[in-house]
Amino acid sequence: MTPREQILSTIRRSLGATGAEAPRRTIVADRLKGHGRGVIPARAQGRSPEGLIALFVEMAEASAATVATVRSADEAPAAIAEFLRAHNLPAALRRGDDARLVGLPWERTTIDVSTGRSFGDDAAGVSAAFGAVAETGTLALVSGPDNPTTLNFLPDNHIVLVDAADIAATYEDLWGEVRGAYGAGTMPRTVNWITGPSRSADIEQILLMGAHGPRRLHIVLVDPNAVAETTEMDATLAAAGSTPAETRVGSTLAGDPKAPERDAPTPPAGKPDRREADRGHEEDELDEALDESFPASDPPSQTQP
Amino acid sequence: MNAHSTSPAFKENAHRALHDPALQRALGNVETGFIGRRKSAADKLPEFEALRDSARDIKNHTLAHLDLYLEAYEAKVTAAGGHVHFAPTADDATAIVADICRRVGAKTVAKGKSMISEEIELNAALEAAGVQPVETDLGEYIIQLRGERPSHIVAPVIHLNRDQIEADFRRVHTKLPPERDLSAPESLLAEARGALREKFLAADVGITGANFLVAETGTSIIVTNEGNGDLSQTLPKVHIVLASIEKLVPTLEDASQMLRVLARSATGQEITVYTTFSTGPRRPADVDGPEEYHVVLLDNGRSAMLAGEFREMLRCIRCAACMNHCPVYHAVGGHAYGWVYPGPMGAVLSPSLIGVDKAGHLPNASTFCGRCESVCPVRIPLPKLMRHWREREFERNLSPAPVRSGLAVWGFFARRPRLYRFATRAAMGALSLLGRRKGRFGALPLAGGWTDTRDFAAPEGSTFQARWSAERRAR
Ligand code: SF4
Repeated sequence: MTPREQILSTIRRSLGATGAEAPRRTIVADRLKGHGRGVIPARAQGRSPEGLIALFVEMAEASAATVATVRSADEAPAAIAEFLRAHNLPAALRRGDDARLVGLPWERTTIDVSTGRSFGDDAAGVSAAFGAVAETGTLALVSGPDNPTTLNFLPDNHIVLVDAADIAATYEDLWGEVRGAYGAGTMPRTVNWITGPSRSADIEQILLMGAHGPRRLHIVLVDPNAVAETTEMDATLAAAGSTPAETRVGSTLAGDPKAPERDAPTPPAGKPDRREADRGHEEDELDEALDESFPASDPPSQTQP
Repeated sequence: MNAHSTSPAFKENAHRALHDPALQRALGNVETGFIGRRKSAADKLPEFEALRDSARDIKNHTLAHLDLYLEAYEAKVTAAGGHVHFAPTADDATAIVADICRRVGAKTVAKGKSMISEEIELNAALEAAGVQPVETDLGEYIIQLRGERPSHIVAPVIHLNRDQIEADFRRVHTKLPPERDLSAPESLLAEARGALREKFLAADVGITGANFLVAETGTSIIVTNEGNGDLSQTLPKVHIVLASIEKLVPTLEDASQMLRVLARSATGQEITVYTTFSTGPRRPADVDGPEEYHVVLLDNGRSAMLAGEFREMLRCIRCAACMNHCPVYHAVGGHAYGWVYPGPMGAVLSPSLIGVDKAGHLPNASTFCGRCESVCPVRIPLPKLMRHWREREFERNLSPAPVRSGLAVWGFFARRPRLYRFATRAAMGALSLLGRRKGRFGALPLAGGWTDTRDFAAPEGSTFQARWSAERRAR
């Protein structure tokens, strides 16, 4: 008996089955094809497109990712340049062959863009997401020459471009999209769900950021319908008594997408945290951990009060 | 068989643990951290209880059709260009892994966190085969430096304080300047990260565990927060997945249900930072990823567990909620359990895997408070299963002599109600008089095992039976 037969026959003896029973086989075949959904959280259901985007941003920020919203992909390079500058990072970036990245006007910035997988010596990498899940603020990236998996994990800073239209409500909706792209029962080599930057709490249960993977995860959300929120956000920030000096609020959002090209340095594209005022206890803890784990030479990131 | 366990010495282990001040200090972190975080994550999701039912049902369904799902899974892995190896025993599994390493001429192996690897004692087997295993999860890395076993299935070094870890790093990382400041946990993390980066890039083979296997697509899933599992499986030219047969779920939708309860139960996160779905090796156009993808499916006694009352234990998704909420675990930590799996889940699983003779009295390390069952995301009736083991242990005459003779004495009195009432009243009265001043006993003759580490509350003076009849008379 081969080891395989040995295991299968012990299982069958334990279950009192032979493996040939037609009803059992039908049950299994139907289940595999049915893709039945179980319990789906209400928080992600029945939302308008704007509601889904808002949930995605809220959850992603709660996981310590930062989010910048731009109205067109053409604005992404400037937003990325601003992120690099805000963290004193070199103006250099590694990317794959994804058409959504290749076609961007990188020449409007001073960023030195190289292509290919990472070998561990890039400070920042950029990927284009296959999709995202609003339920938990999760990004979904697929492997391949377009977006090499090494870019997700080796660079200290990972920047991910997401099209607002690709935000699914739930994990199940995302699998629907994957099946649409790759065929039912077939998967790309790797699907990476990423929710926030790398961390570890192994030492005395203290949350530390940047364990092996990126210390920062920055999401550039392309949302053509993003409304200028400057006034509202200013009010919220003022109410919270915390207007970070270096954060020029929502200027990209407010800007006319057809405006003439700006010279570097471009205004920041970062959206400040709209929830400053009602920050919960847990987020304070997370902030403390972030404060502790970022090198002292770093300027504070935009989500920090 | 493996099973280098000290489980038979649970009492001695526990005694040592209770008198270890550093351990007691570290164990404080279990109670303060995990319990509150799990609760707030569960409270934030109104569907959490319904998801626990759903997770239980998915596992029950899969286990009842496990032979067929394994066949379907194997076919899909093969179609994606991967290889499935069946390992009936721990030794079979280590031999398969060592063979692959030898064939590709591997010198070092980067490992993601895997409890199966601990169960089959893979590191010792690799070293014997001339291959150097490198644990890359921060906690597992520290464990490896210390030559220990993890004391917790999610947080392997929960039993250590940072000064102990600092001492280990100074002992091992000898190339770094001795005057460096390692007082902050951040600097410990940075040092480990630096040391491990080189290892990742140099490793020939990467080994990870699997939290779930998906029959529909032949996919293995790992969840991590550090990203070490992903580096372990992406950089080397060979990826080996170690998984036990009960990790299967039918579809990606089923996996998603399980993922909704896993992180919330384990660390109180909505979801872990990295959830990775791997299917086969590198595709023709890929510029990174492993050239070979192997799955080693371990049985090691599980197929036999499907037959009896312990089938329910095979639903376990290793979230560790049961030990996080266990008063016994809080008191003695994970090492006292003497084998790979501690806490309530270990007390039920270990006797099944290494034998009731070796681990049969772990199920006695329970107060039967029921907290484990109340938080288990797949609703395993852990107290009931521990009771099953106790019964079996007693039937097989494996209980220690004092327990057996104690029960025999109790049985003598219990069969003679008037004598029982008299004896218990006399004892309660005497204890109440003696303990009146402090209300508790720090030491009692014949009960040192109890009173050495906890006080025995002094009884009020009358027995339950006496009060019961008094109450009835009053009505
Ligand atoms: S028995 Fe339940 S609570 Fe314990 S580790 Fe397993 S799934 Fe988690």
